[in-house]
Amino acid sequence: MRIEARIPDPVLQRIRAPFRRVDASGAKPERIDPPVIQPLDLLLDLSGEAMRERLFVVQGEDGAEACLRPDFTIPVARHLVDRGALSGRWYYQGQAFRIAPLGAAPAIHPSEFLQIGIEAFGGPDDASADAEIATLAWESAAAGGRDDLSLRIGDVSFFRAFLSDIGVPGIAAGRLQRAFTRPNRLRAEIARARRTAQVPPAALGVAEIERLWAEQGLEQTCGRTAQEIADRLAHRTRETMEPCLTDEQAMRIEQYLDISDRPADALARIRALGAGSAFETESKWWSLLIGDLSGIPNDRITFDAGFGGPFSYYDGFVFEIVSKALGSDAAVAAGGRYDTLAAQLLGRPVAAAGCMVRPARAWNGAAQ
Amino acid sequence: MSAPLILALPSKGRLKEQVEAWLAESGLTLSAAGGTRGYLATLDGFDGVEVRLLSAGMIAAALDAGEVHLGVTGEDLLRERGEGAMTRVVLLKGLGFGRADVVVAAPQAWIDVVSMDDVDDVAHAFLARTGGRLRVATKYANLTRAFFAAKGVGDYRIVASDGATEGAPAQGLAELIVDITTTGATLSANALKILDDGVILRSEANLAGRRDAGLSPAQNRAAEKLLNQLKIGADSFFA
Repeated sequence: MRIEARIPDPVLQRIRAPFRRVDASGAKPERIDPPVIQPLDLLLDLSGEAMRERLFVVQGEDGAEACLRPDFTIPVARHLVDRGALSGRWYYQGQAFRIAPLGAAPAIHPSEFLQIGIEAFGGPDDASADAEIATLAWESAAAGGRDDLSLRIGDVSFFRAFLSDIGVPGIAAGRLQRAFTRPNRLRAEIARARRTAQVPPAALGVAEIERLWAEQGLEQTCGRTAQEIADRLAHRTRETMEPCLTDEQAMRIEQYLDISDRPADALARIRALGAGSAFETESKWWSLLIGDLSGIPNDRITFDAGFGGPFSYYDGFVFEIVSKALGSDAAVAAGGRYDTLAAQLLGRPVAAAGCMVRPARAWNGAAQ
Repeated sequence: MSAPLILALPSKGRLKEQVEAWLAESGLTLSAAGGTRGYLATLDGFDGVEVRLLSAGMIAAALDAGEVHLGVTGEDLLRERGEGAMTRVVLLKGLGFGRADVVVAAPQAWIDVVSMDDVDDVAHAFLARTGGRLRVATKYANLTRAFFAAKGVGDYRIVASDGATEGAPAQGLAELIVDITTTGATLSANALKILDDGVILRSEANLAGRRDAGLSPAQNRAAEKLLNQLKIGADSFFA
């Protein structure tokens, strides 16, 4: 078992302090203690099958599989839904459990680790709210005493705007955007969008599909209707009529995704790649964000155009705080916006953002 | 007498016969030992080798755990044990029998689905429409996860299947399956089709060895003599 170092209480208190502070609305975040044991099915449905290899799976009640919480975002949101509390701010502190990736250093990737963080539901959905969460995470992480921290930020909305500005056709743009957090999918979608000789699929109507099914004795349609299949075939046909991605566009997309620079320099490089009016609309929001991140030294902030966040459920602004000494695959803190996930859990649209800090990574005495 | 080199061989069925034929080609004969239960055997002329007769799945597990030094089992069964297992076990030689492809198969009724790209589209639509993920029934959870990740398909869930996986879609337990097939006939009979880019692994029976097995000088001599007679270069095993 990989156990992490115990952090002295005064250090822990300093790391926790930013999350307990009274916020802009005058409210003091309340502590929340969600259960350690979580339903496996729900977690995988919300965060994806790829998460499973990181989970400690246990036999739950009534034979259903359960797992130890790998993170707090989903457990906190579930707990609040159960309590009927749908807006406000909560902070947490507790152990989370994750199986380390193969070959990872035990000291940096313990199986059981302390996590402190905050989740904000129903607050404003704007640049200053995003900046505030990132600033809290920065203050908390920095309280651990490291002087080699840097903040990495990204946002899928910039990618969406960039694709539109360089003239990527609608259906292809939608697919590329959807693939943003999955590099392998993104490569596959770029390849698919570039294919020159796309043959349209046979345009079959509902009646023809049903006739084919009857002829071949296909009774099991596995949850899909003839209508759905006909619609998708028609959609694919429209897609093949779109101009395919040009070499120039594909190259610019790849160059865009490679941009990782100080915010102002990144912005200049994105403009040089052909970003136009859609991007400028987003970049106004960005200027606000960068302005509101004034508590963080500008030379410690990197805008990483291809960065989509640690979990697929982040759907807007995302960030990570890393230490040079620990390396980029051992984030000290991370967070962002996850409105879609929250809406799925709460059953109605809600603005949701949050962050977490790992005190043992933030503390500069842990290695000694 | 010092501890013998342990070789694990399939204990039953067609695979057992094929292994015996392969041994015979090199002039090796297996003799049952250990009484009527028949879990142990010896190789004639190899005093320093103990043969354990196990199921192919148990051989993969025993190699991974270091309980046996050499064994014949399916590449699919070894790879399914994960990347960690493949750092501990080395495939010494593909034996040309026990062939089976691990494939992704979809319902034939899904006329619009022929590739993993299509699966990604449909999975995404399924999640948006139902709030749940497309279910993939399989005994090969690790191979499936690695393959879907390589293809960038994320909106799916694995449903563990112990029995006849090919029946899962018809039973309403899953939409897709990942399973082994040799001719594809069982898949067709269940109204399933293999996706164009859905072959995860072309597997066959392999002689495999446990790395860092800590062999004694006597075990080492036995292994060298055995591999030599089988005409298998095994530098990677002894390294």
